[in-house]
Amino acid sequence: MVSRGRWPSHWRMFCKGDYYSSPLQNITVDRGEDVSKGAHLGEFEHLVLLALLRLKDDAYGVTVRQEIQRRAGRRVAIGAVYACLERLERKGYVTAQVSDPQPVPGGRSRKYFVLTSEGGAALRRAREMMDRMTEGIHVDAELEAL
Amino acid sequence: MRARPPRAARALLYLAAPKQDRTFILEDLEGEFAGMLRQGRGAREARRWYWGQAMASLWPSLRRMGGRGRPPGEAPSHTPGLGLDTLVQDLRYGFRMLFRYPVLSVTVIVTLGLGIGFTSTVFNIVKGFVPRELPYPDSGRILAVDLTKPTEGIDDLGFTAVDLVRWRERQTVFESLGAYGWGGGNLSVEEGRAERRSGGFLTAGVLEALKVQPILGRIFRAEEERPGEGGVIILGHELWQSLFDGASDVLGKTVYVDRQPRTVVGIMPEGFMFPQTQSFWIPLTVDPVASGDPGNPDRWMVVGRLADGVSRGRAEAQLRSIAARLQSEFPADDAGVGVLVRSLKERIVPPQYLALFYTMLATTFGVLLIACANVANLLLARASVRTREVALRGALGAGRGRLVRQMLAEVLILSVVGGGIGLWLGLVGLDWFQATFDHVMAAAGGRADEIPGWMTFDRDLRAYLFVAGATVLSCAFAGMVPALRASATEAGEAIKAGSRGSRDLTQGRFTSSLVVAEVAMSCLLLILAGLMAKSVTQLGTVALPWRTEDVFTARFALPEEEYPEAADRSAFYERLLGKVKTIPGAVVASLSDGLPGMGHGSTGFELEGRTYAADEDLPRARLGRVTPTFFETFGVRAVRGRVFADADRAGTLPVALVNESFARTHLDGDPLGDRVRTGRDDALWRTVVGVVPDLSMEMFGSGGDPDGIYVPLSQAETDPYYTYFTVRANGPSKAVLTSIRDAVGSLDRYLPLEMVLPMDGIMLRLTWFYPVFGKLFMLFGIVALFLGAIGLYGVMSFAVTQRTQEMGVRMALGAEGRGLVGLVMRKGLIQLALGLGIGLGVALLAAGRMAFLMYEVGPRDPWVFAGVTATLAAAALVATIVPARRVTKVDVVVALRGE
Repeated sequence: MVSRGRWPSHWRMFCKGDYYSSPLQNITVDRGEDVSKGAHLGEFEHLVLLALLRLKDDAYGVTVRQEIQRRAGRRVAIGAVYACLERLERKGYVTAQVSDPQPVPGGRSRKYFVLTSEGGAALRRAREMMDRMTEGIHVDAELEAL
Repeated sequence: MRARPPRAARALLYLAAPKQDRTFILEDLEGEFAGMLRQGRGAREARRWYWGQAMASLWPSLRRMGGRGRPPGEAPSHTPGLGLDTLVQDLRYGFRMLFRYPVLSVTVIVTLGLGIGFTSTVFNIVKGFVPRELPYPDSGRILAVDLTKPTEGIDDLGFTAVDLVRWRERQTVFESLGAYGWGGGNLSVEEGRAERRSGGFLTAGVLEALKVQPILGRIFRAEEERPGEGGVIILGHELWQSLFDGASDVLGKTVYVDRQPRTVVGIMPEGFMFPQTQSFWIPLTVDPVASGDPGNPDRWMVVGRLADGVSRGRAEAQLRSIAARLQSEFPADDAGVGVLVRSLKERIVPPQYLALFYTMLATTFGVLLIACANVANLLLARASVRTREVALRGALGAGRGRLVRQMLAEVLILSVVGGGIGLWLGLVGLDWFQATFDHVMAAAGGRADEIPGWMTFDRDLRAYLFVAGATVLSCAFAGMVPALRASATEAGEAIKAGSRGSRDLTQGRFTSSLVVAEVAMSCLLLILAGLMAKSVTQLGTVALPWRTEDVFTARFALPEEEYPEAADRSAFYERLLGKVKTIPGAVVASLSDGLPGMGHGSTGFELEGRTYAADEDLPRARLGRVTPTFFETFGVRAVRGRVFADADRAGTLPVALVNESFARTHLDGDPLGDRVRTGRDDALWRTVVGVVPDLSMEMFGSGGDPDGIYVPLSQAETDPYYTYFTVRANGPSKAVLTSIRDAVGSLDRYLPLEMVLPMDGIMLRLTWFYPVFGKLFMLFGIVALFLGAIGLYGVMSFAVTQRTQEMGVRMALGAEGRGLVGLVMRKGLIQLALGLGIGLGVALLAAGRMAFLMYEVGPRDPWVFAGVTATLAAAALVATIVPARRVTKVDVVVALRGE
C-alpha cells in the first residue's frame, strides 16, 4: 500500500502502479490485488479489527466482545464475534493461535487472534476511504445544518 | 451453592456452535458469567444475560454452518460435527433431491398424509365412543359388584334390599358402597307442564363412591334410604336449565315426579349422567321388609369405591368369602349365589361394543401399516437408484455418517410435510364425523340428554402426536435401511455397475415382501369395507314389510295412580283413538305395546293339544298387544285369514294372530282355528284367526324374525307399561306431530309424551350406526385401495425404470415391445397372486367375527370377495403395464445410455 495522507482526487484517479481506480468499474485496487467486493470491510469487521489492534496480545473472544461493547457501545453476541473472526481469518486479515492451558487450577486454553499485515492494510484502506469521503467537508457542521 | 449457567442455553449453544470454536465459545461465556457473579450482578441477571448471548449467537453460528459469509469461490469447510453442524446443508440438499424426483416425493407425502390423517381421525372417533376412563375421580378404584348364579348362566343378578343389608354389614374393603337402578318418570315443576325423563334411583353410597360433588347443594344422606324419608331429588345440569333456566335459588324448590312432590337438594355438574343418560336422581328406598313381589323382589346394581390401601385382588377375595359364608348362613336365599367384580367401565360399556371399536382401530392401524410399507418401498426403490451416486460421494470423502444423515434429512422433510397434511386431514376428518353424527342424531330426533356424557369427539393432540410420531419413526427406519445399504457399497463396485439398476433387478427380497404384505393388507381391508358398504346399501334399499311413509308415532305411560283400573285405561284408549279426526290428513290410528322394528315383549305360550311338563318347557314367542287398526296403520294385510276387527273386544271370543315365522315353526298345515294361550292355567285359550307377515317383533337388525303372537289390546290379560299411539296421516310432518301432542294433551294435560317422531326417525334410531359408520368404512376401502394401488404402481414404476438400460439392450437385440412388457409384468403378477392369497385367507377368518355388524350380508359374500379380487388385480395390472409400456417406447439409443 503506497498512498498515505491525502492525495488530490484527480491524482488518485490516474495513478498507476500501486494504486488506481477504474471510473467504469468503480473498483479500488491495491498493488495489483483484485480487491473485489469481498475485500472491503463490513462495519462489524471494521470494529473487530480495531478491537484487535487495541488489544494486541490479549485479543480473544471475550476481550474482543467487551472492547466493542465498551468503546462502541454496541452489544454483540459471542457467536457473532467468533463468526466474524473466522471470516476475517479466511480473508487472511487475522490469524488464530490456541494457547496452552493457563497455569492455574482448572486453567483452560484460549484462542487468541492477531492482526496480520493484510488485516492492517485492510484497516488502512478503510480509513483512507473514509478520509476521502470526508475530505473537504466539515462533517459536524454539515450534520448540524441538517 | 454457586450458580451455574442455564443448562438448556448451554446445550443450545453446544449444538449450534461449529466444532472448532465450540469449546472456546462455551468457556468464554462461562468465564463472563462467573465474572458477573463476582461483580455482584446476581445469578438471575447473569442467567438472563447468558440466555441472551445464547439466542443471539444462534443465527451467526447457523450462518457459518450454511456456508454464508465465506468469500465467493471458497469451498465450504468440512467440519463434520455433532447436531446442527451440517443440518442446514443436509436439509437444503434434501429439498433439492425432493424436486429431483417430484412424482415419488408427492407420492410419499400423500401416502403419509392419508395414513396419518385417517388413523388419527379414527383413533379420536373410537376414543369418543369408548372412554378410556370414566369421568369420575380415580375411576379405576370404582368397582361394579354383581351376584351370579353360575348354574343358571346368570352373571348380573342384582342385589335385593336384603342382600344389600347383609353385604354392607360384612364387607370392609369398600369405603363406600351403594345400589342403583334407573327408569322413566314424568317430571313437572308445577301442576301442568310435564316431560318424561330417565332418572336414576341411588342410595347415598353411590354418589359417595363416584366422588362427584354437586355444583349446588348436596348429595343424598344415608337416612334418605329409609322408607318415607326420601322425598328429595337431585337434578342434572341440563334438566336444571330446562326446568328452572339455571336459577341459582333452585334449592328447596319442588319438582313433581309422577305427581309426587320432591324437594330439590342438589344440582350435578354438566355432563354428569350416571349411569348412562339419566337426568335426575332420587333416593333408592332400601326396605328389606317390603321390596316388591316377595317371589320376585326388586333388584339393583351395586357399585363401590375401594378403601385406601385396598387392592382389587384383596377386595375380590373378601367378597368371594362373604358369598361363601352367606351361602351357608342363608341357604334358602343364597344357595349357589356367587359374586363377580368388574370395573365400572366394563359394566357401563358393553364388551361387544368394545370389541367392535377395537376391531375398527386395529383395521385402521392396518391402513397405517400399508402407508408405512408404501413409503418404505418407495424409499428403498429410490435408494437403489442412487447407490452409484452415494458411493461416488463416499469415494470423494463424505463419511458414512454424513451420507446416512443426508438421506435421513430427506426422509425428515417428507415426514414433516406429510405429517402436516396428515394433521390437517385428521382435524378435518373429525369435524366431518362430528357433523355426520350430529346430523343423523337430529334426524332421529335424538336429544342431548340421550347421549352419554362421556361420549365426546375431542381433538386429542396426543393421538395426532402418537400417530405422527410412530409414522415418522417408521419412515426414519425405512430411510435408514437404504441409506446404510447404499453408503456401505464399495465405490468401485457401484461405479463399475454398467446398468444403473442391474444389481437391483430383483428389487431385493425385502421390497418384494413389502409389496406382498401390502397387497394382502389392502385385500383384507377392502373386503371388510366392502361387506360393510354392502350392509349400508342393503339397508338403504331394503323393502320393509311395513309402511313408514306418512306414519307418525308417540309413546306414553299411563300412571297407575291416575288410571288404576283396566277400564280407566281402556276408556282413555277409546277416547284417544276418537281424536284421530283432529289430526290433519289422518287416515287411521292405532295403539300398541310396541312397534315394528322396535320390538315387543316376550312370553311363554302353550299350544292346544301339546303337553308341557313344567313352565320351563314352554316355548317362547314375542307378544304384541294391538288395536284392530294396527295392521292397517302400517299398511299390512293378513297372509291368511283376517286381522283383528272391532268386534274382537273384551267379553267376546278371545282371538289371536300369529306371524309367518310362528306358523312355520309351530303350526302344521292350516293354522286357522288352532288355539294358543300365553301362559298356563289361568290364561285364556285364543283362537288363531289369521296369519300376518313377520314385522320384526324384535329390535330391528338383531338378526332374523322371531316367532310372534298378536292379541287384541282390549282382550289382553295385562296392560302394557308403554303404549304407542301411531297415526298414518298425509299432512305436513310438523303439523301432524303437533296435533298428536295436542290430541293426547286434550285428554290428559299432565301426561307427557316421548319419542314423538315420524316412523322414519324411529327406524333411523335403530340403524344410526350404518349411516354414521357406513361412510367411514367406505372411506376405509377407498383409502386402502388408493394406498395399495399407489404402493404397487410406485414400486413397479421405479423397478421398471431401473431396467431401462436392460430394455434397451434387449430391444437392440431384437426383442419386441410385447415380450418386454410381459417380462416386466410377470414379477408383478407373482407378487399380486401371493398377496391376494394371503389377504383372502385372512379375510375369510376375520369377516366371520364381524358378522354381527353386517345387515343381510353373509361374512363370506362371494360378490364382495370377487369384486375386491378383481379390483386389486386391475390396479396391479395398471401398475405394471403403464410403466412397462412407457419404457418400451423410449428410443433404443437413449435406453442404452441408461438416461
